[in-house]
Amino acid sequence: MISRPHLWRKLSASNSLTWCQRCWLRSCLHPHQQRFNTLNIQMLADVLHKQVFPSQNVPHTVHQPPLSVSSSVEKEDKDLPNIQAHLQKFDLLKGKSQSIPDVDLNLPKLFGQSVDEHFRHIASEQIRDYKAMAESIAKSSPPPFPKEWACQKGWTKYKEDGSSQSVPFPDDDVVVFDIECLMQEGNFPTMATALSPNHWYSWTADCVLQDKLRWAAEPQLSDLIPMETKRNSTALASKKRLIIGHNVGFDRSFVKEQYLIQGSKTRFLDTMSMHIAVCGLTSFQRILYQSSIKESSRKEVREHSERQKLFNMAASEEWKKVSGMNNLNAVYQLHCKGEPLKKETRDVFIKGTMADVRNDFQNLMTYCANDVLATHAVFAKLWPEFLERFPHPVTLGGMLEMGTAYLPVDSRWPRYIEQANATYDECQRELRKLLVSLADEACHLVDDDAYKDDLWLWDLDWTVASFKMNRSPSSRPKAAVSDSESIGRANAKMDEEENLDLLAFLESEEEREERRQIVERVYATASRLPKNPTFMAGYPAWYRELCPRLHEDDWYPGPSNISTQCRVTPKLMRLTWDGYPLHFDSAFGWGYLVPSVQEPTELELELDRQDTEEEVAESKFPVKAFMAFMKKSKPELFQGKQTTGTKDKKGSAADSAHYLGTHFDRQAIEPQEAILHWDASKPGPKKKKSNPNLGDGPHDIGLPGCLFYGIPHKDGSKKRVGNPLAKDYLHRVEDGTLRAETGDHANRALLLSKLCSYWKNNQMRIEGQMVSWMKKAELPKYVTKQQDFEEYGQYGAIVPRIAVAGTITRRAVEPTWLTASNAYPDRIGSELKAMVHTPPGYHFVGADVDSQELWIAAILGDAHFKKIHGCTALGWMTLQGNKADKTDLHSKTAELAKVSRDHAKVLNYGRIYGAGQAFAEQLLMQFNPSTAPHQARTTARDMFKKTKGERNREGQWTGGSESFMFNALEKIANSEKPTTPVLGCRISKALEPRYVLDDFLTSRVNWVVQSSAVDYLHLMLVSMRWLIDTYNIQARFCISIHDEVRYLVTSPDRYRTALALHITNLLTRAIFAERLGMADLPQSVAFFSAVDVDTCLRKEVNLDCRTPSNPHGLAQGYSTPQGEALNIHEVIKRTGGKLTKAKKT
Amino acid sequence: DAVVLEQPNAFCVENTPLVPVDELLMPDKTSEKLHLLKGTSLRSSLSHDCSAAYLSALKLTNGQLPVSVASSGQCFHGTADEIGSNADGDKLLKNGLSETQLLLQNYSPPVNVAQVFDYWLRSRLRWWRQFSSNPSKFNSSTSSDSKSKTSEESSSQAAINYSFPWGAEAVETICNHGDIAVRQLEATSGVSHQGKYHQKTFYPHLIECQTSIEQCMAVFLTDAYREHEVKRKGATKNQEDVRLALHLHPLLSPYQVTMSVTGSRLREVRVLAEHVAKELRDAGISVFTSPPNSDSMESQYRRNDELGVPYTVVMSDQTLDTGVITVRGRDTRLKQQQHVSKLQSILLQSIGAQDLT
Repeated sequence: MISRPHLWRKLSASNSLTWCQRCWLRSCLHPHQQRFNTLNIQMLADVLHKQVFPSQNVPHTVHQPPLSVSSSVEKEDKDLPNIQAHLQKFDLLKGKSQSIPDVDLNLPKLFGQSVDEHFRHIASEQIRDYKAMAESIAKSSPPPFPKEWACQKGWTKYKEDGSSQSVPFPDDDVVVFDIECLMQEGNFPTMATALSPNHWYSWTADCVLQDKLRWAAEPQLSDLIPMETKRNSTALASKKRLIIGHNVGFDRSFVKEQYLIQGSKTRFLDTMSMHIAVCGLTSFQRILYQSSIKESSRKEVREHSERQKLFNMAASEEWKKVSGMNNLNAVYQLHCKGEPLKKETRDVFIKGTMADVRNDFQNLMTYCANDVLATHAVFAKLWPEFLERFPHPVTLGGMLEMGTAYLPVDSRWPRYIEQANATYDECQRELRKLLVSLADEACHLVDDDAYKDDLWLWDLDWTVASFKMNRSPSSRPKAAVSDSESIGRANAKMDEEENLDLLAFLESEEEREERRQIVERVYATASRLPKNPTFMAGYPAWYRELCPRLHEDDWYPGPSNISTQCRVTPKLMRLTWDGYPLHFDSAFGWGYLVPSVQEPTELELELDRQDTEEEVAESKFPVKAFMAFMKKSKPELFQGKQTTGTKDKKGSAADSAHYLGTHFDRQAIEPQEAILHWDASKPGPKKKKSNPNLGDGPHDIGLPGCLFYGIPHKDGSKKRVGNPLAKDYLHRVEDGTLRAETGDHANRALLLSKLCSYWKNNQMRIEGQMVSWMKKAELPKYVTKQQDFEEYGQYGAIVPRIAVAGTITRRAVEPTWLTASNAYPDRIGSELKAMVHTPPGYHFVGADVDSQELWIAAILGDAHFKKIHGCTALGWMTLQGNKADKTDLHSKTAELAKVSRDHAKVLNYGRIYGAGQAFAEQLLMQFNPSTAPHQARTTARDMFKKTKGERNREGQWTGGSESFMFNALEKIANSEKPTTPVLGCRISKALEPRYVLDDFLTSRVNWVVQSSAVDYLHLMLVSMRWLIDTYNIQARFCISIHDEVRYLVTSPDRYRTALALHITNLLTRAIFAERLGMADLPQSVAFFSAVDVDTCLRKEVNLDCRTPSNPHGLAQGYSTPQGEALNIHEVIKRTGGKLTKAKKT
Repeated sequence: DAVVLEQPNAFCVENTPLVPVDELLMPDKTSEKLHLLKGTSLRSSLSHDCSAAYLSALKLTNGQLPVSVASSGQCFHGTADEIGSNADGDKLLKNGLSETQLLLQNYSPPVNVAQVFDYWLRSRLRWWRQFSSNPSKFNSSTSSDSKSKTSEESSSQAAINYSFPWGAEAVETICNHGDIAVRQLEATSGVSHQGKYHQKTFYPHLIECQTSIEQCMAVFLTDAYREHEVKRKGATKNQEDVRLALHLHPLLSPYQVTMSVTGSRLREVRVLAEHVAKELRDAGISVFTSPPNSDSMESQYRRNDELGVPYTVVMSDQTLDTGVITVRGRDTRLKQQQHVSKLQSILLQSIGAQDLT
């Protein structure tokens, strides 16, 4: 029997049926009324569709076309061949159309007639009070400073009549707030000021007034600043409050109530995030901006404009006037045209001691209050502008919600840090041991000058110093004897122990006397010791350099100064690059040696000559050993040569250069856009860069028989590589490009340096995380009465210092958590995220949005083309493609570019984010270092032609699978006022065409997708907040890392939260589709593929996160059980599809 | 026989793990008990005897936890039958009738037991690695035994494994018995076994580390054994020389220094060497004085390498005139010239520093 979809395809392929007939056919074939669109993509089940798109007059039975869209039916019919042709061009449309079970679910009633109306309604409700507070403080004019700041513990309120009063916390609903903390004291707040519409407040830490002995390195709740509770109380009021600050995420981490598990109703509004959203700079612009400030700008501006003329490109410098850096001072000057703030006072906080604070208390408090004043002024300016540019209430609602991030930790956290440090130290120790033994073994080569034949070590300094003694003093030896202490000691000892000496019985008096004389004489020579005796006499010079002198503090025998930083280390490890031995050249840095092309006969001649003339040869380079090594490591070279070599002598050099995998010709430069600016903004180093000799090679560096190629630097071919063992090259070890030629020791050392690199780079940041531990009384009863609550356990939290909109795409920024690595078995400490663990009685519930940005890009393309889900090749692949058929995007690209699927992913995202062909070339060569540049270029060009397409005369992309998508993005990016399609958020002023003209297009194209992804996140947060409040779910927002959200939920509510998340995803996708004029949604994207219910943060609920510092895994080492990953059907099974609390039976 | 010659290093192994470790954790009290073989019943573990000492140790600390008990002694395992059944040799090193067990019991309060367990595992692992020239061959593995299923955290076992050429084998076990062990003790004796910590009383959790001298021997001998291929110039091209060396840690090698003499004024040189050797011995360095022989220096070096002696001190005619000696290192095979008066301090520093890696 033919499968139904198959039959359908057969029928429809004939194209003889009308749309109606086909629909009828389909409905017959799918008795369960699964809905499919014209492209045979399964859509939301009828029952859901009705709820989500209420205004759409949805047909009851599918074969009756809806009246309201009857005109589009004809259009569809007309368009269909068009679409099919487009899809068939990319070999699509032929895969099996799987149908997935429909979901029958009663959603909560939506407000209004559309999803958009619904979101507007719930978001407005959520932000109403906060918005009113913000409004009131933005309009207020601050009262004058109090005459004198009260020097008393805790909060002081300053009244209009000049009097002041001690208060437990500021009693106004809304304040502008700033804290200062003394660096020396660690994470303890020292003082703070707050400004409400009518009053000033100041807060002073206890330790400013009296010296307090601190037991813990981490602050306790009582050390932090209360904003809504009394001293020693953790009873949260249900009152909403708003705290405004510049980079308020930092200040928030010192607020006491933010550490409570329950979660407070206080929200934080960050003027820095507002500034970045309204008029922030891209990182690239920031560099340009700063360099234009630093250098005497006139010449630079002139050069820039010259270049613009040269390239005939429309650009403008206006953006520099409407934007600026993110610190308070710069923001204040930009928006309020104020005088620069005096920041010198700040030094006291950076370098000073508590005594300095006491001495200068009034001044410092005023400084702090001045910051608050500036923040207030900035806020008053930015607030109306922010509302104008981000009119949708969801944006503000999402940002407020993001600012409540919270990471609970327990005793696992200190244990993790301890383990990671211990493992790191252990690895470092072992690494040193290995390197020392490598150095020791290299010493064996001194025998018979064997080092001269060593490919790596021949050019080290092998000179050996001999031990020198001073001339023997011609005067009487007796004098010398009395000088020498050691002689005295020797004699004394001899006398003293004479009787016990076994030898004494065996030797006669004369013999004993003789012995005494000999010893005396020999020891007397000590006087001839030079003051600084030759160090390590007998050892080669390079080895001696590695040995610390005896008097140094951390003296350790042997070459203990060796590290991966040493220049000699790669040589000792006998590293090879792609099979060629590494070599260091003082001009070019690290590179590798490739045999130069010679006729085989000539080669042999050369070899023969070397044999005989070895002694006289000017260069000491062991050509013979080199050739022997190359023959062994790259036999194909020598076979290849015979064929190419005989053909054409001149041409063969180039040919074999390809053949050798020399991918280091001048690489294609960065996208033109960037280069333009670089050249303009960096007139100084330009000259140096253009030095033709500093390329990658080949270079003749005077070694016979071989040419030198530089190791490709990650920043492009022009840079010299200073250390091949640096972090950026360690991944080359993984793919086998960089290898140690001899010995397990060396390979182990390579591995070790790789293990260590993650912790080395992140240790400071992770250890610097501020954890506040709570006493038992400070924990909610709910937690302490749980069975698994440990009386002596530690329970605390980290409040991550997030800037809710830290980039111009309004993505959140935080240095530790938002960039945290997943757990890898070769990264010490990479189990970081899994160390965030729920307190007893709680679960994490969260999910990753499946290919979020890809879907957003695809749906924009679909909407741009024919407004049918999956009508573009990219859209179809995203919705319908699958790995098994190799019809998904990544598999397709992998096939095109002949790389692995994971590599293809990188290529795809790079391209969709606006990276150009040159970038793809570079990536291709990085993935496979033996790709020749011309080959990479062809592949990249091919790939771009088939994906992005080519620009036609009208400047539109055509012919590629992603052409429609790029046209859609560029249409938005090039519009007068680029706004995100769903929430209507404006782009940063610094990128608006009226200020930059055609400049920075890549950034703008990128912004469309990324910023829409942020809209997506904000929509989710708002929707979740609505469901949590409406259904009284005990959950709070925890963290969002890119396309992933996590909530901290009491265990009984965890499945309800999972259901809420699934519904949230449905509504969020729905508003995207609706706003893009496609009131329907494919079933495959409607729900999360899985919602994770877990007790720690990790990528997948069943990962054990084994790393060198967590060798026993989470389950055994930390007794963290596996979590559950639930799809929508499983969640419905567990909750009955109801969000309301199940009644206890 | 090489093994017999190496025997002294067992001494180091026995003392270093137990004494410093105790001092670290429990500077006030350590009770070291040496057990003699008792008449008819052959014991298979020291565990029982040590547990018996727990109460007296606790008394010495006035009831304060943590308390550690350490012991070493000969233990016998299995009956003849069992050994017979084990003859298939899957445990190459455990076929002996008896072994000299080293046992440490740590009784700690139940606060953060997981961390304490980590600590022991880590410090034991570090101890093994410290003496190894291939630290990466030591690894730890954990296993929770079947009975621990019922009481999740209370009992877990870890082993330190060494990757022998014939496969990994456990060389030490570290076992967390939870508080069950102590509760059982109390049940049998009827006396309270609770200890105090921060003014609170607990049943302490027992963590046991156990290894044996024989295993140490096997591990470190295997670990140190190294073959170097040496190409000889002048000889025919393919002729390769294999040189053996024992890269023993200086603290483990039977002798730290060998004295060799050479030259024409042999008698005088030897007299000097004897004197220097005696001085070194007085300073606590173990010295092997090479008997007079006609072997070439090279072959003496080679023998010393095979013995695992880290330093060879050579005295010659020149020494008699200038006081300059050569110190030849085992690992670098290079000869360093030094003045005889500095020898002792250099050796002491070199050997001493490696203690605290």
